[in-house]
Order: sequence, then structure tokens, then C-alpha cells
Amino acid sequence: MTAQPAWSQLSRLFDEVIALAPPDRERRLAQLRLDDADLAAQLEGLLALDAAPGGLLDRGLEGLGGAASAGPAAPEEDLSGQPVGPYRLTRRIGRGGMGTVYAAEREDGRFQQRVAVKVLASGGSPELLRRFDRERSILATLEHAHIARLLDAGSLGERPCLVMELVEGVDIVTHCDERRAGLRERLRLFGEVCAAVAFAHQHLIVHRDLKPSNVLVSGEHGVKLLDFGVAGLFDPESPAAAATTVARRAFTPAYAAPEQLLGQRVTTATDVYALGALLHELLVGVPPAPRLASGDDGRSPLAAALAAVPAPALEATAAARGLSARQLAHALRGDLAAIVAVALRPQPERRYRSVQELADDVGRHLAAKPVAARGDDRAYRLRSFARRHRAALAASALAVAALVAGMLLALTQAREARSEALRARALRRFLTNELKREVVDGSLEAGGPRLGAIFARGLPNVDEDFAGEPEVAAEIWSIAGETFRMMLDEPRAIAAFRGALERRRALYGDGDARVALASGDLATALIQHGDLAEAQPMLEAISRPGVLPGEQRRDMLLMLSRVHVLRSNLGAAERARREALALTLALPGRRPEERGEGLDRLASVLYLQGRMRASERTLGEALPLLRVEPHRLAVVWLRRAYALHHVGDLAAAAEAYAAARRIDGARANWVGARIDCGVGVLLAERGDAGAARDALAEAGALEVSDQQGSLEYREAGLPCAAVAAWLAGDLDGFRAGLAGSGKEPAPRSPQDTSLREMFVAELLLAKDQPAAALPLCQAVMRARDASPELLPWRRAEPRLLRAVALRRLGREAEAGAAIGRAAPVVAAAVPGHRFLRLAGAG
Amino acid sequence: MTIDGAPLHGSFAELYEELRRLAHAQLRRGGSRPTLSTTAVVHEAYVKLAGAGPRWDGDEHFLSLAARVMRQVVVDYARTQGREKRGGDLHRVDLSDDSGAGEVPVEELLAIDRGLERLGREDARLEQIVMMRFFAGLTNGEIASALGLSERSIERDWRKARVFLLATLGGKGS
Repeated sequence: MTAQPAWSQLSRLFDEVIALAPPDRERRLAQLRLDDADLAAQLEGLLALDAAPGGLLDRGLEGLGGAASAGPAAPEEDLSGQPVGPYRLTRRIGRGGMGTVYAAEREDGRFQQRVAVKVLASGGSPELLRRFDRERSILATLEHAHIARLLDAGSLGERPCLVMELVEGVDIVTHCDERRAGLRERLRLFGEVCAAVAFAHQHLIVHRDLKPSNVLVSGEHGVKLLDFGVAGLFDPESPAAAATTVARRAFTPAYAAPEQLLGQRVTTATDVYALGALLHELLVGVPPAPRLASGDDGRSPLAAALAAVPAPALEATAAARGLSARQLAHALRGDLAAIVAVALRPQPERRYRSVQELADDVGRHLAAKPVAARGDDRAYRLRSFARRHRAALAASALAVAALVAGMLLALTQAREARSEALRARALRRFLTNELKREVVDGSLEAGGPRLGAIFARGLPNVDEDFAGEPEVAAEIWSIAGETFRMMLDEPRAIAAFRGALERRRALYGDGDARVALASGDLATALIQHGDLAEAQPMLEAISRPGVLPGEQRRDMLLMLSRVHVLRSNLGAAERARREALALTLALPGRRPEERGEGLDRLASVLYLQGRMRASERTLGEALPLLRVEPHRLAVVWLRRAYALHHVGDLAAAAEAYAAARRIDGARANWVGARIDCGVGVLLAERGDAGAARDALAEAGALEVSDQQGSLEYREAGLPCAAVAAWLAGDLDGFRAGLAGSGKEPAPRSPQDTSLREMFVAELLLAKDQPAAALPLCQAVMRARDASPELLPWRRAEPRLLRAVALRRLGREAEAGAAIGRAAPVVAAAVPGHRFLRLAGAG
Repeated sequence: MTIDGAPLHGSFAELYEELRRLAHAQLRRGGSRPTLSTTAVVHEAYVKLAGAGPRWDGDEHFLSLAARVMRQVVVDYARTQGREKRGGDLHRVDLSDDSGAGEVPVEELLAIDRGLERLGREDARLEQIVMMRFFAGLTNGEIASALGLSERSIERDWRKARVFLLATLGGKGS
């Protein structure tokens, strides 16, 4: 089959289908076959490939080798039949890093003996010669039942040779798989390997290249370790010598410890790692993913490997151990995962201190005794924390696995990072990403409550689980708070953040930045829950100078300013935002757009204060600095247009609306509707009702098409439906349009308020209720008089409307005088203004 | 290899040269039976250039580049081998230094490279992930932190890329 046509469609379907359980998958495929048989066939082809072995793609390129690019390899000469001392080479049996290995027979007639002879490759470098020599001297000192013995040394022409015990066997992994050996049998054999390596270590010999092909199993002799070929003598008593014991690149990457990959010092711990890798492969069938010193994600390598193996392959692996995939996963979850994790720790000093300790732990596991790996292992206890809530875990396996893995990752990184700030950031970043993704996927609703349930049930045990590590406990309380907050479960978020704050306060004492940050978290949740009165003093305390570093203090000031805005303390909000802006400007290495963002926030508060000119100018300053997506940029232009519109500078406002409109993509959603709506009001004010209705008709269509807009009205004036009703003279429709905008937006500028009231007054007049309109007009007059930035015609506007009401009420003398004063002012600025017609002055 | 229009200025070119140099040095170092560990090359380059242990976080730039360079090195290498052995009409070339590790089929490697080109035209991100995982030998975890994605999504993408490539291999590539 070919994957060429409609890959994007196939790709989406593939994602969808592999996420389904087999019965659901079958149903989905059946449906698809009906809908589009071709597509279904292609998809099934891909699914078959997903389960099929992938050859080179799966094996990877590690260890890709061959002739140097400088030239082709000399063809390997077959030396079978040649004599080496009393031995005659009979057949080639293998090739290792050191040379070629032949089976040979002793032929001097004294006794029949079959041996293995390793012949150094022709054209060997001096380096290879030295290594070869070293191997000879090392092996001579080693005599152990599980180590292939060195019998003799000789030469074949110029080439040195080693004569060794011939082991007729297969490598340990193949041996186990062929026999479908169970886990206990595998562990027993592994114990023999450990015993041999431990013995070599006692003789100050490190193997350095332990891997399955160097560990053979033969029927009679059990395990035999081959090829101490890269072993180097080392002497713990002699640091000078030890310092030079640097790994050469004679290792196999899949089994190589991080220190080998990085060319650092090789010790017995290097063999502990390789043994961990061997154990890993014996258990799950694949060597572990490479682990780097700083890339320790703290998660169990076994669990990661299990997760990475496709289901069909896992079934096969399990079957080779006489188990089902489920049983295998279960068996590898506890002690064994811990043992492998400790052996494979990237930092040599954190692994088992000796091979003996590793062997002892495997022995304890076989005897069902508690293993040392699970003792002082933070990662283990975190896993046990998760395991205690296995039901919930099983329910949302992926989400929770990711969460727990993320916690481990963050905690492990934190150990290295040392700094609390880094640690908190790591945790937060993980959680935020993960939860955001859930929100984006739409899976939060399904996974969220379960995530929450884990924390809700687990939190009471955290202090006990982390008895010796109160910092970790505090951190988990904080993570829980963050999780609840993002799930909009504010009461729990508040409780968890309070827990985190208490614990950090006890740990670090008041005045510590970490305590202040915990207060900040708590305050954020309180704000979200609407407990502004409690949040405010907390934020005031931690946003004082000297408590937090500049950037964090700025964030706290911004949070505080939000509280002020919500509580209508606009002066205080403005001060906080100005201070935040000043801090931003002082930040080293700040980006230019950060100033733009600060100005943008300041402009919002100025707008709310009714300081339209200042707001508009501030936005003008911010606009060239902002680096935001087009849609956000259009909103900023829109706000600038509103400010100008309210001030009464209709020409400049029209330009700003036009600028917002010109931004690519701005008209695709509610922003477009708001722009058209503002333009509609402006046109109506100028007296062009027809054009206004046209603009609004378009806006209405846009608005209905995007529900999201309703959340944004607080920033964006009147709903289009209300404006359209106003234009149609429909008071009930206007009120319904306002109500239809959802929650009553909290903060509102005096201008927005006066606009609404004036619209209502106008509509009341149209319904011939001048008495009801009169007080509204007076309220608008007072509001606008309090705003010195407004152009004179904006202040004359409500006066003109009031005069119309007075006239309708029969108070002609008052009305005439008022019209005489107000009409010329309005007429001069907006010649076609609709009120002029109402007043008979147009 | 093209550099996909990325700017070839100072540090970029330096990085590129360094990676190539290390890969070839590793091949030379092996004497008559060299081994190429792409993982080791990438790590070594990183340690050298960053002066620190690998910490991929946010190093999308470095790793993408490393992956592309490794792809080129490996493919060039395989092509050379293929040409040299083609005289004897051998389609499989013994590239192994270890009797246990088997052989690397050059044709398969080149077919993967061709398939990857096609994949790149359909989905550049999948191509990038294959280059990082297959050619540069990075783990899902390393790729995830470099790209700022979850390991889960890397694994998902890898699975998808894998079947795409297997499909093109089965169809004899391009």
C-alpha cells in the first residue's frame, strides 16, 4: 500500500484509532469501512504495520559500524586450518572488538581439547595491541567457574593470540527466551553473572563491556562470562592511576553507562550499570533507553520500557516468560523496577555501591524479603504514593502516569538544581503543560476529576509518605493546589495552597521568598474564588520591596492590581501597575515587548478610571512594542478606538477602528464583531442609520458564530445585539441584548455606564416615557462632567437629550434654553447627530 | 544536504562542522572495524560546545541540527559502502563490529532516508522526530524536552511516522 493520498486524513484517523481499546477500534473500523472503504483499507494497512516488526527502524543505528569512510575494509581472511602453538584453528565462530575468535583443537597428540582462540585483527593499531596484551595479563589472574578461563597465549605469525576456554553456549537472553524461562529462572542466572563480576571486582578488574553476547550460558557449566577485553586494571589505593583510567570507546552503547558515553572515569559502578542493563533486557526483552547524567528522569526504566513497547511485541515478550502482558507488567512493577532503577542510576555514586549489593537485593527479592532498593528511594515512595490509589490510576492511566512521571522528573531534577525556584518552575511547567494539553484536547473533563481524586485522597498521606523530606511534602501540597486551581475546584485549591503555605512557613520561616511565593499561590486561588478581601492583604505583604526578586515581585503587583480593579480601587490599581511597569523596565535582559505589555495593562486601568485620553495615548505607546498574535493586537486597537470614540474624537476613532479591521484575521471572530459594532454606533451617532445597520448586520452574524466572544465583553463595550436593538428603537431588545452578554461584567468605565444609560434614556423617549428618561439624562450629565478629557460635545450630548425630554414634558422654556446652549456645540462637532433631529435643531 | 533555509551564520555553521567532524573522527578512530554511535557523537558534540553535560531542555535548535547532520553522515556513509560493495552485487553490507549485532542493510537504510523525504513533505514534525530518534539516537524523553512536548506525544508521533515509513518501504519507496 502507499501512504501517499490524503495523509493528513489518515494521520488523524490513525491517532484516533490507536487511542481506542480493541473492541472500540473494531467498531470504529467497521463504521469506517461503510463510510469509505478505501480509507478503511489504508488505515488497516497502517495498523497492521504498527503491529509488525519494523526491521532497521526498530533496531536503530546504534553500533552502526563497518569500514572507515577512508577506505573499504580489508576482506576478512579466514585463518581456519592454521596452527597456533599446539592448537589448530578449526572454524571461525565470531568477531569481537578485539579480534576474530576461532574454535580450535589441541593437536599435539597428548590429549584432545577444544578451545577458543582469539586472533588479533590484522592491521591492528598499537592501541589494539596494548589492549590485547592487557587482556592477556588480566585474564591470567582470574579463575572462576563463571568466567571463561585464559588457558594460554601464543601467536600466529605477527598476530598475538589468546587461547581460552571454549564455551559452547548461547547468550543469556537468547538462552532464556528459547527456554521460555520464567522470571525466577532469569533472576537466578543473573545472580550467577553478578557473582562472577563481583569476583572480578575483588581482583580489581572491571569488565567495562558487559552485554548479552558476552554472557553465554552452556548446558553443563551454567553462565560463562567472556571477554574481559576492555577491562582495565585499576587500583583504588592509587588515585593517580585511577585518574588515568578513562573509558576508551570500546563499549556497546546500549549497555554503556553514562560515564562511558561521556568519556568519564570508569569504575566498578560502570559494571553495576551494565548489569542493570542486562537485567533490564532479561526482564523486558530490550536494553534500557540510554540514560545521561543530567537526564535522570527518576522514573523506573522498566516502566518506561514497558510503556514504549507496542502491545503485540509486549505480548510476545511476556509469552517468552510464560506470562501474559498484564502479569508481566504487574511482576515488574515493584521490587524489580526499583532494583533496575537503582542499578541504572545515571550518577555512578547513586547506584548500588557494589555488584554484591545488587546481587543481594536480587536474592532478597527471590526470598520475598524487602529489598534495599526501595529503602531510601524518593522515587520509590512517590510511586508507592501513586500505587496507593491504584484504582484511580487504572482509571486514567495515561493522564496519571504522565503526572506521576512528571513529578518524579521534576523532583529528580530538583535534587540537582538545588534551588527551590528551579524546582517549583520545573513542577509548574510540567503541570501547566500537561493540564493545558488536557484542556486543549478536551480530555480534561474526563481526566480532570480523576486527577483531582488522586490528590484529594492522597494529600492526607503526603506528610507521612515524605516524613523525612518535608520540602517534598510541601511541594506536593503546592502541586495539588495548582492542579485543583486549573480544574477550577477553588475550595480544594485554597485548602491545598494553605497546606503548602503552612508547611513552607514552618520549614523556612516568614520572610523567605519561598513562603512569599506560596502566599502568592494561595492569593491567586482566592481571587479566582472571589475571596478578594483575604487575598488583598496577602498580596500587599508580599509585593512590598525586598520580599521577592524583581520579576516575581512584579507578578505579585499585577495580581494585586487585579484585586484592586475587581474591588474598584482604581487609583490603587493604577499605582500597582505603574510600579510593576517600573520593575519591568529595571529587569536585566527584558524584552521590548514586556514594556508594551506593561503599558497595555496600565492603559486598561486608565480606561476604567475614565481617563480616556491617557489610556489612548498609553495604548499608542504600547502598540509598536507588542509582539502578540494578530487577534490580540486587534483587541488593543479596538480598545484605543473605544477610548477615542468615548472622548468624542470620532475621526480618530474611525481610523483606529479601521486599523483594527485591517489586521489579518481580526474579523474572523468576536473581535471582528466588536469592531463592526463600534463602527455601527459611530455611524449612527453621525446620523447615518442605514450604514450603521449594515455594519451591525455583519457584526451580528460574526458574533453568533463565535460563542467565545461573550467572555470578552467586559473589555469590549456593548453586545452587538443590544446595539442593533438600540438602532431599531427596541428598548426591551436592548435590555435583553445586555442581559444576553452573560455574566454582568464587573468593572466598567464611567463612559460605558453613561453610554448605556443614555441609550436607555433615548429608547424611553422613543417609547414616549420622558419622565423616566429625565433622571437618566441627568446621571449621564454628571458622569460626563466628571471627565474633563471628554470633548465638549460629549458633555453637551446628554444635555441635548434632557432638553428633548423636558420639551416632551411640556417644560418648553427650560428645554428651549438648554437646546440653545447644547445644540450648537454638538452640531459643530457632529453635524448629523441624531439628537439634533430629535431636538428639531438638525 | 540542504539546511532547510535556516541561516548559515556563525554558531550554526560551527555546530554543523563540529558534528560532522566528530562523526567522521569516530569512524576513523575505530581503525579497520569502526563503530558509529550516533548517540555518542551527539552527546560528545554537546558536551564540547556547551561545556556541560547534555541538558536538552529547550535545545530544539541544537538537536534538530544534530539530527539532520547525523542523517547526512549516516546516509553518505551507507551510500559509500553500498557503492563499494555493489561491485560484488551485494545488497547487504556487513557494517557490524560485533558478531552478535548482525548487519546493517544499506538498501533499507537508504530506503528509510527516501521515505523520510516523502514524510517530510507531508508532515515536517514527524520527519524531525524520526531524524532525532532514528538518526541521532535520542530517546523520547530527550526529544520531548527539546521540543517542549510530552513523551507521550513523541511516542504517538513516532508510531505514526514508523508506519508511514514502513508503508513506503513496503511500496519500494519512491
